[in-house]
Amino acid sequence: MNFRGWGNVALVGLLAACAQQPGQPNAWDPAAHRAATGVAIDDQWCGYMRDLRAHLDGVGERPSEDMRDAALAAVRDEAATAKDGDPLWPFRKALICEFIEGAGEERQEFDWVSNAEFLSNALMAFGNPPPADGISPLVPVFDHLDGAEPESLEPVDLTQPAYCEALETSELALSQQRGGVVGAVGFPGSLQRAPDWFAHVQVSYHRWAREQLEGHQLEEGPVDFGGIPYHCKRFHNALEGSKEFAVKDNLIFLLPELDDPNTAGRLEVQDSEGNVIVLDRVLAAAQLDNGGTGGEAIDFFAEDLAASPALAGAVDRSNNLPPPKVFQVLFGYNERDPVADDPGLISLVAELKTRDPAEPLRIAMTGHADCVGPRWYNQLISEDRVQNVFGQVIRPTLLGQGFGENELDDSKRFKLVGLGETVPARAPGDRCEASDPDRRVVVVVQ
Amino acid sequence: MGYDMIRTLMIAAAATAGFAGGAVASTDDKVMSLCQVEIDKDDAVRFDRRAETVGFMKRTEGQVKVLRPTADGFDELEAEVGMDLFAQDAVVTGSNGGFDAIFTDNSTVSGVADTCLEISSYIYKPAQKTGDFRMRLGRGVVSVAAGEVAKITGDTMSVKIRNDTNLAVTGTRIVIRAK
Repeated sequence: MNFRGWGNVALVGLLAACAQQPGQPNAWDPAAHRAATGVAIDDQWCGYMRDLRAHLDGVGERPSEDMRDAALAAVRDEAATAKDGDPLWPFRKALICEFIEGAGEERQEFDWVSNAEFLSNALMAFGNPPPADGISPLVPVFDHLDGAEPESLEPVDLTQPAYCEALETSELALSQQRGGVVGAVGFPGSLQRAPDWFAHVQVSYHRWAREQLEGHQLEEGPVDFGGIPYHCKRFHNALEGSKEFAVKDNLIFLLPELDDPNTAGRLEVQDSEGNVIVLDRVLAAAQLDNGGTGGEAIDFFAEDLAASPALAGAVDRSNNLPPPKVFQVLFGYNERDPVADDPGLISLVAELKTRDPAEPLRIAMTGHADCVGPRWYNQLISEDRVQNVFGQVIRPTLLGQGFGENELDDSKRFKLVGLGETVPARAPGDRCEASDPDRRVVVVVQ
Repeated sequence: MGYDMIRTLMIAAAATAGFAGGAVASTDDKVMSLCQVEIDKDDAVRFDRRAETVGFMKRTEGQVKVLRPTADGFDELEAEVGMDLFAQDAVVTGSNGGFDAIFTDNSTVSGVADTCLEISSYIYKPAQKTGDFRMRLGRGVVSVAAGEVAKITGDTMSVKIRNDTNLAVTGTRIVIRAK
């Protein structure tokens, strides 16, 4: 079940609880919410959220990294086993946990007339067209329905920057407070989406409040819930913002190496203030301010990739692009023709047989000779070798794949160069000997 | 990992915006490039370096254009699959665009929508084992899989991000976002 479906079930559960007679579980009670949402009282992820919220509110120590890692592992396992592998489940559940724990707080602070009124308002907001990403506003609506009239009841055109100006600082702070806990979890990518969610809820409230005043339901107007722009800078720049909530403009992170999904390279980041950050694992990340200042390592998770279409799109493109491949075909002494059982040749043919004539295949080939014999002779034999690999192997293989004769004659796409003995495979300084690695053709398939 | 994986990210100090050739705006020392990256005037377009193909478009989707500097501005070309790329070209994608480019040193660069990337300079001489590959990311997100140039010892491959961020690459797969 996706989150929207889950949210519906939860809301129905809440409304059912609300409709119960006195003496029944109160819908403001976190326990009732847990029952409605199916979250166990000892849920590890919600427990971590509770401790983190307390810390952000100035009560208690920040939960340890070990606690976070264990809770994250648990919620990821839950996503894999019970949420169809939803990559955003940890983030979504973080908000659900906030909702559960915050229910009593909301009741105490915002003095609603009744549970029914509160839940009715929630239903109103929830009933608005959800954003295109399918994220339910159910959770953050509880953050915003603070019982006060919004400053502006005008319809808001979310495509206009003035939208941000229509929001009260207190509203921003409240949203940011709730967003802060998500930020403190360490999901910067998810964090970028949080303002959109809150914005959606706030606009829902604007709409609702105006409907209440005018006594009728507003027609669908200029408010485009599916196109909430990212993002209102004020969400990020409000004075109440914490370090955890700061999302910076420039982000760099490491992908796994193509030949090993568990290995990444190493990156040393030095910002303009001289701070050095070492990144040396898959998805290790750094972010920087506009001016190249404030460089810092940040937690970056697979969930962040899932939450950011642009980042995920770049990774997908990179992963789906067949990487250029290099093959080396070796020759016997004074031989010009490749031998059929040469391992490099076999691999090359196998690769070519995967290529689609519709793709813009390019091949660069360099022929080489060893150092024995005159240079002019070695130059000629290197040219012969490269021509023979192309003519005897590559051309017929690609013709068999459906490539056209004209394409194969395109010297821009198929570059053949003989380099004689000028680029030996040996290490510089080694003695000149008739060595196999020097007698070769290197084929780069792109 | 079969080669050195040390990478260095250097952030340059902020500089004064300017105006100059092959680009958009200038003062005495600084110019804005096609992707609105602030660069030194000395790094502006030099047509004597643009002779050789440096790579090609492997795949494109949606709106993708190549901005190719000319003596009096730049040509705006529709990017096509198989199209040659030259040093100092800029690749710009629209809101539905995306591209993958492969360079002669086997570096690959993938860009998503709303991205502007420039090939500020490119030299690769495999026989001499020398190379120099500089890109500038004006906006958007690119994934870079470094190729042979980045394996050459020294500061040979870098990506400059708008707002004076330089990413020096020495052989890895990275994703960079610039706003």
